Amino acid sequence: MKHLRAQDRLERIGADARPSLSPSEFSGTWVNTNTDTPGITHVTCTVEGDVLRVRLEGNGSSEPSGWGEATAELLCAASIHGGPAMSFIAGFDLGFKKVQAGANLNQGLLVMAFYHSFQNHGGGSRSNYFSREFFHRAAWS
Amino acid sequence: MSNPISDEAAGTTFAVERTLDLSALLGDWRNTNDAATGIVRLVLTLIGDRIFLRVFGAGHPGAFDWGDAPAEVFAELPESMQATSFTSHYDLGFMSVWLQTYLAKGVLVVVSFNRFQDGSGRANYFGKEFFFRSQKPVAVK
Repeated sequence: MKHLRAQDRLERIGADARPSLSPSEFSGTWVNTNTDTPGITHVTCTVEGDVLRVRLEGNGSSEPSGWGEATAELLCAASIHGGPAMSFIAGFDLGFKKVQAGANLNQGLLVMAFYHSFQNHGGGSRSNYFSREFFHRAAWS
Repeated sequence: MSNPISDEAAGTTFAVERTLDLSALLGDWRNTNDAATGIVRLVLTLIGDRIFLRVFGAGHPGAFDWGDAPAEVFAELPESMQATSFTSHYDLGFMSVWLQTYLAKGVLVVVSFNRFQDGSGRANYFGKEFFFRSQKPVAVK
């Protein structure tokens, strides 16, 4: 079995391996733990089978209020042995910038990292930038 | 909807904004865990106006050299000139790895999203590792 890291070498795939990752643990609405965030305020995750759709909302100040919806391009388990999906990557195209988001579940939180790439740097006045935010489940979710 | 995974997989290289200060990122980074079974070493190098990542995976008797991949750097804020994070992607044939990183108190936190594409039954999985800088950049090629 080809590998380029020791941890990727498995002697045998267990009979209970689940290469098809269920994203159901993301399902619902998530609220930023920082009520004063200038960034993303809410994340809504919708699950249809093994497909995860992610919708982001900003507060309209430093980030747009509506980011639209993206389908998670990659779902990952916590280990090479499989299990439910606990992380994903999704891309958002806002026109003036593209954002690659990476997310993972940790201790009941949805931790999201955002890598913002401006498509027109406007003469160099803005740098591409990184942000990281934490979300808890909405009480009504 | 744009697909940043596909964009990166197509071999895109990213021009570094010359005004962005890369001093906090360039250099040789070692895993804080001596017994790591994932990535043991990262080297970030500036070649011309491009930044490249070189990854070494844990192996025996020596580490696996994954070769160079283009990296895109990010500041902490749009107004900042200090690069504090980067992303990169490796398509290694049997697997693809998306790396998202950020600096926290001098530690480089590296998150990996790992996808197996060889039908081996190994599950896509998420990983997180920590690196300290063992050598500051000494030269620009």
